[in-house]
Amino acid sequence: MTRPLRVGLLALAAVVIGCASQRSETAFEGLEIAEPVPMPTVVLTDTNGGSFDLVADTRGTVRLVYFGYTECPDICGIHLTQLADVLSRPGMPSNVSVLFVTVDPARDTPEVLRRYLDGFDADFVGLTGTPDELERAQRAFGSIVAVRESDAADYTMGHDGRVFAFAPDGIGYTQYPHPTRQSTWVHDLPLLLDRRDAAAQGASGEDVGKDERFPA
Amino acid sequence: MRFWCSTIESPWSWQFRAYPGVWLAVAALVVPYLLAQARRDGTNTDRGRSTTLYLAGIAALWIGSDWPLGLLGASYVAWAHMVQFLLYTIVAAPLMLLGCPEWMARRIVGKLRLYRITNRLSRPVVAGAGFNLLLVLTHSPWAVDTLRASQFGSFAMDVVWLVMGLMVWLPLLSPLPEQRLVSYPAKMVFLFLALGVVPAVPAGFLTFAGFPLYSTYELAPRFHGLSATTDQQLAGLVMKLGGIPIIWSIIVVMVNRWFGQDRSMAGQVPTRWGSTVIDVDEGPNSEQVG
Repeated sequence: MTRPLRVGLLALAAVVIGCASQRSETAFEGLEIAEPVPMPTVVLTDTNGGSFDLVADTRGTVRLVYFGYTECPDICGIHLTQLADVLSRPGMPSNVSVLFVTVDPARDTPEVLRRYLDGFDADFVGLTGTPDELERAQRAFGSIVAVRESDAADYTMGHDGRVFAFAPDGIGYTQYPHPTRQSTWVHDLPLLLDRRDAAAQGASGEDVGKDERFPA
Repeated sequence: MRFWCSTIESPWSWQFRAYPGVWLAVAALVVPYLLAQARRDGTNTDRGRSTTLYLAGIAALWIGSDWPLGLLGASYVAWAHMVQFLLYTIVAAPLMLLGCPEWMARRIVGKLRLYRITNRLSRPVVAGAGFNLLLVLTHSPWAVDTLRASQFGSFAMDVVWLVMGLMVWLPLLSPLPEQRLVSYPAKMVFLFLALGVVPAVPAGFLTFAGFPLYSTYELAPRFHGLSATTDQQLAGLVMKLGGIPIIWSIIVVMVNRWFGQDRSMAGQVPTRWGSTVIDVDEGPNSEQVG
């Protein structure tokens, strides 16, 4: 092998290794948001009937916020199953808050919500509110507002399929549409948790989370 | 209505679903066989036994392809996919070969000009390597996720599995005696390597993989709450252990026949299971249960 060829191959290998290592250390596999946004301050009702502040009551954790409903025939159950499976894996961070906000408060009573979520993970938080509160919450997170799709008794809801992720520093860097694979979650959750360090250094979004900073 | 089982997005239900393509395929395999058997004249003394074996093979094929197993394997759970694979390759295929009389096989390979290709495929190295190569290819995440997503792809995968199964059993059970291995040790080694050892490697990948390999099953609505990881581990176990009872039972039978061979060899050659013998002077339709 000639020397120029050897040097060329070495350089190419260095570039490939460099690119690969850079990607695995810093890049999220979920949908990265071009301009990360702080988590909006929203207060809803949990399955015990108490008020639940989505920011203050989950401080220091990775928050995964999802707007769904218990009668959902497909993606809600898949998202929650994936998260339950991933969070039960050895070595996964324990301080992750999964917040399931119903978009169907008429059927999803606190009891129904609790029973549904316990089927996945008893630590998942179920949240509800009045229709107005829930619509405001969806708008605050930049979610598509859910709509009832028919007048039938067994109606379905058209709703956003994204999981909105917020790091412990209170900033939303990524979103996870359906379908999101377990390998993506396992890759990204520790990266999100690492953003805690930024919060500790004073770059926290916790104190600046205001609704007006989010697209309506 | 769908023609063949493929990936769907709705939650699993035990409500019956019709797949007319499966019924047509079964009819296409059964009707010509029965007509050919019926038209055969009275010298066809082994008709009852071969028909029973063939129909048992078709029944396995039907169970593997139709609702509920076909749909579960195409859309919901990886373990059902592996059960389907085993039904096709180590139940249906050998039974179909056993149920195919020599005269019928000669007619088929003659009309379709398949004699040369089946001769090549029946060589143990070709059959074993080909089977295992196709096994790896058809169980790759790309193949499963791509082919199972469409009815045609799913149908193609099932056809490939059946062809693989027929190919790997040819050296042992070909209806044409000249294509079969003669020596018992060679048969046993072939069976052990081709169907016992090599498939355990991809099965190990499934059992011990860090993540669900197939997005089809990982992202499917859950089947009775079974998690994707557990489902994949089950699939690996099915692939690894599912064939063992059949393969080792056959090997044990072969060992017995091998030890008993000396006293019954004069003027006779061993046939497909070693449990039957052909009296060379009486022609191909004179098989007798030994």
